[in-house]
Amino acid sequence: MANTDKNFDHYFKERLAKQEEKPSQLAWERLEGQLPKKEKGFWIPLIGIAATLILFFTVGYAVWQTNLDSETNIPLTSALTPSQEDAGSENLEETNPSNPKTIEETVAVTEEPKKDTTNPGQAPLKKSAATKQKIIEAPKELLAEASRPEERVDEATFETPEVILPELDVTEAIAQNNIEEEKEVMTYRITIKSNGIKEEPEKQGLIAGIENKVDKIGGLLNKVEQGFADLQDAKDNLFVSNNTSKKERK
Amino acid sequence: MLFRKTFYTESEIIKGCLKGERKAQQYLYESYSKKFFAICLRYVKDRDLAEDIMIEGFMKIFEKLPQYEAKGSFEGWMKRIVVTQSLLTLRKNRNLSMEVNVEFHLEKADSPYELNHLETAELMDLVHGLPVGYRTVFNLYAIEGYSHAEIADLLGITESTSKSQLNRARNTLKQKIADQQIKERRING
Repeated sequence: MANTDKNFDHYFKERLAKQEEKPSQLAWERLEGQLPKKEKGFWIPLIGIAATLILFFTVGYAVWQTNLDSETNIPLTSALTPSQEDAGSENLEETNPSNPKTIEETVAVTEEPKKDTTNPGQAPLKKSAATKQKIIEAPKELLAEASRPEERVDEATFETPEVILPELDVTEAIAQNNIEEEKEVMTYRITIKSNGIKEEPEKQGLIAGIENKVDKIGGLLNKVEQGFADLQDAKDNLFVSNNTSKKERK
Repeated sequence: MLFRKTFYTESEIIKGCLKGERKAQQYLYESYSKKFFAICLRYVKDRDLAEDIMIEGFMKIFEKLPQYEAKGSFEGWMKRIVVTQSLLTLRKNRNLSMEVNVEFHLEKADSPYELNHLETAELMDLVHGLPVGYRTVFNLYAIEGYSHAEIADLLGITESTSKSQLNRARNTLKQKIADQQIKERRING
């Protein structure tokens, strides 16, 4: 019995132990997918890093270029710094014309009474006030490139003083009020200081260069944002002061 | 391929696999996948499941390769891993209840049978026809050459259970062979 069993088992073993079955083609790919990646894994991260660096660099460069273009169109520093210098000097009539009409009126209103009263001491105050208003408004030039308006406004200002003069003669009090308002207005100063875009010598190495440019871009954007925020504040304050002055007049 | 086959020796393959070289791993796979797939198929009928087991088996082989101490044959070592993997899967699926209580009333075993003309595929079918418990013990003992003690250890059963399962497996197989041959004789006249 034991012998026949052994033979029986042996018969099966002989045939089945040698048997081979081909697994599907996908089996190796599935196995490979589960195996840890060593050979290929070494290069893939490096390629990935290189690709991201290149992408970063190109995007950064593109943004920097567009920023440069927009900077040249909107001369933030050049427009503002001269006006600050002017504040000290008495280049009133040259600066006044650039003001928009609404503010012109207030300036005109303030100037004329003083001429009537003929107080030499008040005149310089007005001038400085006017220039400071101009400083506030200078940013508006930035938004709309206003080279022509300057000339047109020049003519307008020359005409207005004569017309309005007699009407305002009557009350001296108004003039005084206006002076006070102007003093309030004097407090608003917007100074946007920037180094501009200087080409600093590029640091050695790709990454250093990229970092440098990214920093520059970030700085520029911050400055622009800061400038706009200041402008907004100044504009709001100006409107408030205008409104209050009108109320006081009434 | 031919160049690689002549170039690689077993120890070179093992070294390559230990370093995680993909080519060596693939070579090992291509050399043994057919044999191991056949082993898995003996334990599990389903081809997809058998393939999963084989892939898992290869993963275990690559993982445990550092533990292999060139004692005994490398193929034998790998086979044991594949067999163990098959048993683990069977246990997970819980289809495998080793204590098969369903009595197959086929214990006559006296019916005449002839093995001579049976093809491998037919034998495979016969083995597949066995209940899981019988089949597993029969595979382990008759074909893989495990002892009853080892089987008892592997499957978590007693040695006597292993022996009785083996006997029932044999008797079932013999009966089936005899039945088949009776049918064939009838058909042939």
